[in-house]
Amino acid sequence: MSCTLGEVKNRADLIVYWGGNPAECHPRHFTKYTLMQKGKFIPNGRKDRTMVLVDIRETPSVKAADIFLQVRPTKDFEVITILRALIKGQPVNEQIVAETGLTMAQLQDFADRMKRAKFGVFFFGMGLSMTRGKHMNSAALLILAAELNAFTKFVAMPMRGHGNVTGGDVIMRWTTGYPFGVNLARGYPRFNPGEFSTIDLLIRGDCDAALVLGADPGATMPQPAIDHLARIPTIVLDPKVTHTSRLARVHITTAVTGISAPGTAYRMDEIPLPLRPALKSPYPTDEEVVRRIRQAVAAKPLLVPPTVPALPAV
Amino acid sequence: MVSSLEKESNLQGNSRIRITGGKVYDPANGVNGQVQDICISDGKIVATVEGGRTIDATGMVIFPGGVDVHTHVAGAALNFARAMIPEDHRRNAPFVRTPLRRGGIGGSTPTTFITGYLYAGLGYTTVNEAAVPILSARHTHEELRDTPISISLVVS
Repeated sequence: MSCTLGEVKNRADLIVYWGGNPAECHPRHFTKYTLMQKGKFIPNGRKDRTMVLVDIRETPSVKAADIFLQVRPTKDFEVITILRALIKGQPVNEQIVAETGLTMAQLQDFADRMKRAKFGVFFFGMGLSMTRGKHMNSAALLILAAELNAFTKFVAMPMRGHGNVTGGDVIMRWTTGYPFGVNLARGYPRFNPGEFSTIDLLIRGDCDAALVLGADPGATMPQPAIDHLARIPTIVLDPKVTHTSRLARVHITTAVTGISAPGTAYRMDEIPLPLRPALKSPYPTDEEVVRRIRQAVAAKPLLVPPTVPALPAV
Repeated sequence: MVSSLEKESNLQGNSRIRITGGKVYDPANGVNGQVQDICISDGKIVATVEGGRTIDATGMVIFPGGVDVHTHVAGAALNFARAMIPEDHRRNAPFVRTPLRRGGIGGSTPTTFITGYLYAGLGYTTVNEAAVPILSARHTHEELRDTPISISLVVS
């Protein structure tokens, strides 16, 4: 269950950030969409909204929050499960509540606020989706949002990372049917996160070349994955020198998309936004570089001879 | 939007094709199941051609390209659905890449190129995407650019 950020701006009176630090990672989120804006059904802007922050530590986002719930690390799943019980009025074990680092009063107040809200939103970050429990945590939160719809309107949306990562997802879906972790080696798309996702391929050493586009895995991936990137011929397309380009065999400087190259970027709610360049760049665009690499590859003979003969020349 | 078939015939320029042996249905010209040759020159149907390629269509039906007036084959909602049903993609036979076709996924939400191949396989040349919210119209256009069949939009 999701919605656009425009709906959040116009309707949401309860904003919950879970496992994220939007003040530093998405600095325009509060001012453009979630907190400061006045909306169609939120006439007084910030005064009409309540913001709850759930995280394991105090971050600069705490200052923006009305309520800060500091969960003990790895206890997010338990907190979500307790909230699912509380909104239905089911009994909860005090012992398990104590383990989460929150009090029963805090959790009951949170549950009541969620049920009372006219339109609530969960924005969840990597603090939820990439810590112990991973996709099970995200799934639990999505179920909580779904169940809250028995009482009010509630949606959940992931806080996507930097760059056009949502756009990458969207295009992978219409070309291969899957958002990520796709293997095309058999001539058709196969999907298996944990087997075909980038980090897993690199750590197992399955790939013998890498093309890195609009990302800096050398700064974010686990060390064994970075080590393999340094071993194999890695090609980086980026406007700037990154951690990855320092360990890559080739770095091709490209124009900055949105500043000197046109295109489409997808916002985290999957709304496509046109990018119009303001400046000219002496460097080629990512698209042009990839097209030229593809032409050069297409000119080479096929690794496996085609099984279906080409149409006879007219 | 120009379909890939049109593009191909434009590229080939003065291509000549004779399709023989097929049962021809053409209501506009009162042809009702007669077996006759269809000749194409420069992308147009003509009375006869000399030389060129001959396609044997014995036992097949020849009719004008079909038009699907109302369909949902592209856009944000469909693309969301694709993400929701990996098990459906897995259950259905995949489309393996060939020198002439791209690989992809069939099932209830086919990938863009497969959508074009499936429609073309049924004899359709034009389809009408009937639900395009303005907010994500740009996305729909980009998907349609990747769908190798002539498609028009109805903006809702």
